[in-house]
Amino acid sequence: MAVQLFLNGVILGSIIALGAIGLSLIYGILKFGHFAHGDLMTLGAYFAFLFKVQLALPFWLAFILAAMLTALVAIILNFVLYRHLRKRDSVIVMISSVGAALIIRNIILLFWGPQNKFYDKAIQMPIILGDGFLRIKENQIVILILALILVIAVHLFLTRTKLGKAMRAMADNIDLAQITGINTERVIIWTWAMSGVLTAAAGILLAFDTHLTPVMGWNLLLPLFAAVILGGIGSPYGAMFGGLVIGISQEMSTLVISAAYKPAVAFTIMILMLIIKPSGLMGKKVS
Amino acid sequence: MLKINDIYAGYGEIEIIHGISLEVKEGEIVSIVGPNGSGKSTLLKSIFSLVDIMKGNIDYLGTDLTKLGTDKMIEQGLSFVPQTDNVFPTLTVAENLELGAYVSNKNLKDRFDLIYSLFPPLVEKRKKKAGTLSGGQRQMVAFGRALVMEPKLLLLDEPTAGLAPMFIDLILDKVVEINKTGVSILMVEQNAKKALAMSDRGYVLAAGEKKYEDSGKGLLENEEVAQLFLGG
Amino acid sequence: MTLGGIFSYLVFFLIFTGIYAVMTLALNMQRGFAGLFNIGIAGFWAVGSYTSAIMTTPPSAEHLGGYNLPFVLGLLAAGLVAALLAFLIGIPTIKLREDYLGIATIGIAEIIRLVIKNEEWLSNGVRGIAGIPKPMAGFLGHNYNIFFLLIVVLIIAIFFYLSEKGINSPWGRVLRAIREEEEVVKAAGKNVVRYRMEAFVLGAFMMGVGGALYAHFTSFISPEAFKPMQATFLVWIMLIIGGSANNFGSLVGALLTWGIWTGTEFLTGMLPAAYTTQASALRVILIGVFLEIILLSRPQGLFGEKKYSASSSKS
Repeated sequence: MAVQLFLNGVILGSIIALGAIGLSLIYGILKFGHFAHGDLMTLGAYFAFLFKVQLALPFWLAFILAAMLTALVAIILNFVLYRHLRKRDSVIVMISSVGAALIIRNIILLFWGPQNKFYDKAIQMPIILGDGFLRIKENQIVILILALILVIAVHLFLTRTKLGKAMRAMADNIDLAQITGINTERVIIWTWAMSGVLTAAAGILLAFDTHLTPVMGWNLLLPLFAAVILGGIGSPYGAMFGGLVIGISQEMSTLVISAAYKPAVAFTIMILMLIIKPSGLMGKKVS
Repeated sequence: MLKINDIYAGYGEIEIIHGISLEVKEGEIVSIVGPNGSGKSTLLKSIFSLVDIMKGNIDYLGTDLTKLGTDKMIEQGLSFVPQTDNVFPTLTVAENLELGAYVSNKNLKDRFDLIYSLFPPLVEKRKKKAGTLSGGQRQMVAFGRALVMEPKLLLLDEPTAGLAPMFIDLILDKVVEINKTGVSILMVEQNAKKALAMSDRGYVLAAGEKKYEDSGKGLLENEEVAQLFLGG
Repeated sequence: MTLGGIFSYLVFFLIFTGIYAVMTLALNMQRGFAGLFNIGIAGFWAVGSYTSAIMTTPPSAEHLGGYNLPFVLGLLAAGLVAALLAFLIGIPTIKLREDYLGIATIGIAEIIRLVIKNEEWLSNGVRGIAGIPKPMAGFLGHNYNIFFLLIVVLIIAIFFYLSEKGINSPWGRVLRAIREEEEVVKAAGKNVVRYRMEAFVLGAFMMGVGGALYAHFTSFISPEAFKPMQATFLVWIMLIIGGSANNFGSLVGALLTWGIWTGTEFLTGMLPAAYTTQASALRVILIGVFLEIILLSRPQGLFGEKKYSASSSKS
């Protein structure tokens, strides 16, 4: 039982981790919590639904197109809203992102309706290992592999490319980045693009594991923030680690508390972290 | 090479620098000294457009810096080392240096070698995160980052602030050493006596205005300056 | 619609405006005066609603209580429980940057929703609590809503008066100074965290009372009775339109926003009945776009920040 829950937790955790990487970088660089991140995740999943189910494209192509389209939406949000509001109070930008979240979610409701949707209606038989000791669906194996590939790609991007290093530098110290000659506006656009891609991927994988609903991303917003705070704001590696911890804790918690309270687990971990070490495990000091 | 002409600068509506002119000639070390709050750092930052400039212009090798973007300034051989928070703490030493060359695409291997030879302690720390280094070593990384692009003029904002006494002389010696490789230096410094002793020329600021300017030696020997600003 | 019909609709409209105005005054205390970021308004709202419901309903096997207490005690208890909740959230978060409080309030609102939905012994779960008493309903008959409107107006008047009084007191001056120049106030030896906490708790008290008013007016509450994010969002729009740190603006902002929100209902009401889901989605999109336009074009709101007389640098 515990091993099964652990596995489920790793699957959920990888999905949270993918979403949290972008959220953390944006948070670190632009200094505001992006409350539309969960709904951006939902949007990515529905874009993939559009391409895969409604337009009957192959899954891999739908995945790529949806990721690119979500990145585009993230960039547009930056251009239309956040770029103008950033210079003011951070609360104003955050409220604007709450507004963006509601707008996105209701656009999804408008076009796709409130009913659950599936990428594939066929019911998958889980692979049973060790006499029913462990069950895993084929989809879940795909999710784990895709998440791993994406995380490795992010790692290579952040450590081997100039742009990736500039992103990390900006999350560290944006004033110094400017003095160093980094074209901060351009890097910000790329950061939104990368967040969009990863967030869409998280949404698609989540829907691939279960199904699509208009609130799927919103329901993950708290775990996403908990992962970011646990790992330290601005630290992409912290976000990956935080995502796994939150995912595993949420699933394992059902051993002791009712499954209805899973979201409370993320919240509790986050509050504990804020009490013990507000800067997170891998973050810099918070003023 | 650098000529500040009657500049007024500050933050938003608050004017801190009230009309200062200053010059740095090729190959010089020039120091700006003065009491706390005299506007030394603000003046230095105005060169790099890090504060708001209300009036005046800054000529650098024939171009007006007040109209230039940061990346262009760096391409033209200008570099700035801030006083605090001057390294990227979660990036490695090597990555910090690489980012110093962000605006360029040329092969920088030789430059890195030069920087490591200037600051030997950094060699074995190249894979370490800059945030884990001591204050003195961090200052070396900050200098290194600023030197990667082969600057002609290096702007230093209180390079010894917050350093342990043993590092102060070391860092100031490095400044002289860097100058000998052909880099002109303009620095703001708290340790006024030490700074003036190593400078070709110096400026004394008070309350946002220029009070004295002379050779470094001249200022050190000026009794008025000594009494008012150098603590007797 | 007859004249009488229009009149009773107007009263109904004003009662809802008034309940939202209480929420906006409360948020103004937290955000406008103290700079605090609370996006879990729905949580305090729900706590207020349920507390008063449990306190004032007759004994029931379906949920905790009821304790059959008078209406006024219900309101008071609602405020106090919401205030206590704010205090508990404030302990770990209020001394940190404002965004942490924001995330924490969203989290607590979600958890409150989960508790109300799942703890049947407490709240009767998804079935909700019905028959929440309306004060004096027995005597007043069909003109009851006018009386309830008077209660709402009275509560607004009290909160408005206390809020103005507070903000013009030495306490309020320190609070405003903190928002402007936190470091200076710290250097002057003031306990910044304490002042912030007080504003947060006071605001939450007001939200709790507002939630109670809602419960008594609708006399039925359930976890699905209102959409939490939508309610929170509307209150924020009201505050932003009215201009931060301006109590009068808060009231006008509540009236205008609730007017627009209701107006969109008329607009989407013209769509065929088969499109109900789409219609309500469209309403949220419209109000969302409206907020973004206000933020971009008129960030100070319609009335801007009220200039309070005494300078904040004294004290």
